[in-house]
Amino acid sequence: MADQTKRILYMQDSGVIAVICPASKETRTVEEIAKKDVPTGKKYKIVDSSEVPTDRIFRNAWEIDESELTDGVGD
Amino acid sequence: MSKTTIPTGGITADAITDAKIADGAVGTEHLTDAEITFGKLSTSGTEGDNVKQRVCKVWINYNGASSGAPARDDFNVSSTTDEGTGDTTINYSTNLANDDYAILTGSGRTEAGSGGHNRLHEVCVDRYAVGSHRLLCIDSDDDSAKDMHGVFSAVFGDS
Repeated sequence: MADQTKRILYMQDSGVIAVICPASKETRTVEEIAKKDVPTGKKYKIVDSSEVPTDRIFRNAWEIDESELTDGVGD
Repeated sequence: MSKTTIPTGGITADAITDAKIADGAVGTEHLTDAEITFGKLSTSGTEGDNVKQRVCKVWINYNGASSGAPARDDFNVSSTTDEGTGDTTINYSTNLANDDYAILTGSGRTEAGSGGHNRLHEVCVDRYAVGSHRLLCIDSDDDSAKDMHGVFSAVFGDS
């Protein structure tokens, strides 16, 4: 089962962060999900879900510095 | 029909063929529970006999108001991508055969709990491919994107 306490972050072309949540029944690991579901060539970072804001009022303004996306690149 | 005594030592492999079993001789009560798998469903070219095509290939109930849009439950989903307010992509564990499939969508609450039902919200399919589809939740009053606590989707198509 994929680890649902993790989130995968990457920057969309729009400049807004995308947040990926693994599905509970998925048998792939979080790292495998990141490779598969992050768009090809996009850098990503895997973080604990507690690190992602819960207040979504300014959701479309969330950003992350490209230099922090150090865990891999989408296939 | 005449009866035949089973020889000592039992029945040899492949001795029982379709031709040796009378029509209706074997009822569904003789099937073991869970014995029929997805792979055994008919893929007949005759539409009325094609059971596999009628089976739902992807379904999900997710919380679009929580960061990451986590699924409450799902089938054939590897992950959900929260792309912004009211904007979620459902990624499949196993791709469909093509992108000519049908997507059913719906949404429930704008607030947590049992309240907040609002029938003025729409769930639009923004894009779809063999491995995912993207949904946008829209407030019909002002066409703005909206995070919904309950978003539902199901996919029917070829696999």
